[in-house]
Amino acid sequence: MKKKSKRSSNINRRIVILQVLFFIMMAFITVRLYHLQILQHDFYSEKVLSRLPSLSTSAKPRRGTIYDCQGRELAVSVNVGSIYGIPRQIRQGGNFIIQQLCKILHLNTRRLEKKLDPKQNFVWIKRKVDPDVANRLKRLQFEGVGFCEESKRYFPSAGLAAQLLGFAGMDNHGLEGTELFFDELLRVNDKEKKGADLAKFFSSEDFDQEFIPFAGPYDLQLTINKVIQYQTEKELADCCTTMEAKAGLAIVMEIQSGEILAMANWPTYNLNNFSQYPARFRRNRCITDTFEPGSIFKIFLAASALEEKVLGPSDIVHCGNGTFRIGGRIIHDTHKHGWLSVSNVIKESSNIGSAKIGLLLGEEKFHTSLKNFGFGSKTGIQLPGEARGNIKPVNRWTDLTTANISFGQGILVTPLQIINAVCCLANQGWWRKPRILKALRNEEGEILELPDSGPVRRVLSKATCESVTKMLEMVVQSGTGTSAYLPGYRVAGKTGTAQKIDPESKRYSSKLFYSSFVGYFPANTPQIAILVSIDEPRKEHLGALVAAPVFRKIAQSIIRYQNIAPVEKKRYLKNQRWRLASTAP
Amino acid sequence: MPKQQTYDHLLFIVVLVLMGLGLVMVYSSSALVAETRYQVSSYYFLKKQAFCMGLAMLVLLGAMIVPYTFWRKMCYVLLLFSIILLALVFFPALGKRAGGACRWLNLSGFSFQPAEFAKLALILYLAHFLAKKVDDIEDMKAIFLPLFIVLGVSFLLIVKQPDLGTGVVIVLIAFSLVFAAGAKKRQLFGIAGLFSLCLGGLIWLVRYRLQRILVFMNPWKDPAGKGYQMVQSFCALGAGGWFGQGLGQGIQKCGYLPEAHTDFIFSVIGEELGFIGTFAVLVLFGIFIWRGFLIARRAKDPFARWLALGITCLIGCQAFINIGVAIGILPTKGLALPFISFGGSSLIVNALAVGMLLNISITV
Repeated sequence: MKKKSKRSSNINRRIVILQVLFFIMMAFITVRLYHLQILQHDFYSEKVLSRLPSLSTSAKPRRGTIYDCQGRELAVSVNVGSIYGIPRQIRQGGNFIIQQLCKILHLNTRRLEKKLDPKQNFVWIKRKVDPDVANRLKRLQFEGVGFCEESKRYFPSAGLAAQLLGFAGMDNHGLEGTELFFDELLRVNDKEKKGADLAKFFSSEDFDQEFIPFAGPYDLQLTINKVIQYQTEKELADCCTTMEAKAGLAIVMEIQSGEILAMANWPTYNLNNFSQYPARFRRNRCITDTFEPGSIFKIFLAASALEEKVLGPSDIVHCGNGTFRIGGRIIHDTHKHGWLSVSNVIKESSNIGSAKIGLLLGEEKFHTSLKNFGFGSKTGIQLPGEARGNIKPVNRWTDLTTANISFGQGILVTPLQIINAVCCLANQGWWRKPRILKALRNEEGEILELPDSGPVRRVLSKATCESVTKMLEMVVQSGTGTSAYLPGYRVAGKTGTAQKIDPESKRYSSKLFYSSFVGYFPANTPQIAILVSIDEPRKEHLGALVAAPVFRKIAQSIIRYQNIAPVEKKRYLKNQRWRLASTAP
Repeated sequence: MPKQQTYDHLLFIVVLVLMGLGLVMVYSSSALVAETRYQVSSYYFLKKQAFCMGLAMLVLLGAMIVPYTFWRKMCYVLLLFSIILLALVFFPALGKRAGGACRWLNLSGFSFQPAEFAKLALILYLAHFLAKKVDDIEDMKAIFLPLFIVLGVSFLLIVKQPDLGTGVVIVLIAFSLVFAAGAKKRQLFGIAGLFSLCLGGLIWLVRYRLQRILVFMNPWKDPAGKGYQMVQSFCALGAGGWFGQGLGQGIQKCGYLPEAHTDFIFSVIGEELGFIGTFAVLVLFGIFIWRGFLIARRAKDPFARWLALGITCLIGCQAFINIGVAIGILPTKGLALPFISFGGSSLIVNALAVGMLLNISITV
């Protein structure tokens, strides 16, 4: 026992010796550090501070270009000059250099002096200036002023499709829109990484054969058509300014392919000066904002009811002469109606008729059908920030909910969901994902067409689609949507004037409206679908008067641009006569 | 009076501070090089290190909970396992070469340095061995023969990679433990002599080692060539002065100082945070050593004592060798600065070791 404790104290003594050795080492290191860092500081700092960073990040590679569907440029990268300073070295040059810099670059002298703090090693004097200006400065050969080439994003058509395209920041990273969503594809990465990036955006079924990703940044070809986008934005802006609206949006889609031809927002902004605009200008309302759709939602009610064979187009419901009491509330119609056929409920846009159809259909079937149309879930468009909207779970639906949703209240949807569901109706009931990216291209011009992934599911039968289309044609020919009528063409569409919630009283307002029109043409072989929504128009408020004319103007310009033929003359004339007869007083 | 059963808070905090500083310095020293030399995002090394640090924290907390006696039961298994791993490095299918050395094992995307793990396995074995045989310390054969065999095999496998630095660390730890166990002067001199002979031979056999030694004697003889690393490290430290250039303001890491985020991270700390920064790092390691030795002295169980001592020496030796290289009092070695340098294997193994040490600190 004694031996053991003696041994233990012996061990402890030796551990202390080890510890002391370590601390001697530490002291030695401290002395050496003091020698190096303090005593020899001047010697070394002179050596180090005279050099510039030997690695330069200036040679940033190009960011991929974004084209429209016909190869016209939407976003390009241009080379510009950036000017930086090494304050330590400028100090020796004195104030002259600073004065000259300020004169040529239009900078504030005092601010620049403050920026060029001699403690700093590297300061950006001005980034991304005109290459000519940079060259002029370069020739002056100021000591301590350096130059590098950077690439800057430039949008040739300034504000065109601004919210859709988005922009890239100072460091050429995508910050919004397609620039953000496809950032990894637009930026340079090595070949292996590129394959992984592609896999992130596309499923393997998107490619038919084994595809070997190519190096370099990808150029994107969008489905957007610059001409149609321009026309859409112009008509939208005209309407919004004359109606003194708060905001507006319009989407044009090609029905068979699901391609977005135009996606316009108002107010818009200049992408080349994006930082000067508040966030509300930059939001892509078409996908991020949800709204109560109002009467345009009756399209999906009618389609669901017909598909479930609850009613036929000519079955009649009673519209209660303008009032209908349900669940302790009273639903009103703008015009009093008695018995109306389903077709006429849609044509006259009767809320009571719709509520009754909805109640006959039943919440289970209605809910399932709406889900199938894609409401309450993202459409899966390749853009950032898509909202999913909101449908109450079916077990929380009361009769009042069913009645309300039948005419588009008590449900939140995005504009894109609406137009996509309308496309589904026009496309013989096949629901598909909206497409925004058409093809990829590399620097050598190799093109990778992204094959059409095809329809996802069938929501409606062909017969239902035809009946509903007929009803919607009636709306435009002789119902609420006559101002969307295009002579010579069969147009199907529906107006909507949704009451907005008053932010103060938290009730449906009688002054704030969300006026929309959604439609497609030609009705016999649908090609183009257009949605126009105007938020809080002040001059007028009916969808028929606000949004429908915009629809007509956009449709007219597309018809001219794409040479869409009118229906045969005989039929055209017949329609005209019929229309005149039906609208006669 | 019953003593409070809690772990050593100070030790834990020191390790956390070192790791935090490491994360900041790894980002500062690697951002530019990542973009220009490796053509990846400037966050590449930061992200990797942060991920490993998260893993290391889990390992540390896990090892704090596991009673240290568990490791004694596992010590033979772990030793065998580490020797197998060390041998596997030499199979081209599994080994990964970098910078002329073959130190990494490739495991489906992750690379791992078995030598890091081997250090800890050897410490566990040594602790177990000394705890069992400490009464026979004067009996040369009983003690030293098995020790020589185990140490010799690992040493050779590590030096073959080649990773002489880690080999030296292992021998230093073993020497410290045997010394503390009460070996006679004669025995110690014997070991030291034998090892010096080995080392001398290894240095003589491989030319670059000799060159490194010669360069270390006088780096200024060839500042652009063989003395380059050393001179750049001096420049970085020297430019720092009292308070440094400021975080992120260093110039040396921009392509002048090689391996700025691994072997020479201490020099970057010196340049950006100055003498205050380097001294703080030194003090932090000093506290670690102090607490570590305290735990070792207080431990009643011999195995716990030797394990605590071994782990403290492991961290201390690595730290001082790395710093010694940076300040030019030791020839260039490829050793990481514990908790601070970029590198997952070293971080995780060190965290495991600290976890064990903290577990021991609960019992003392």
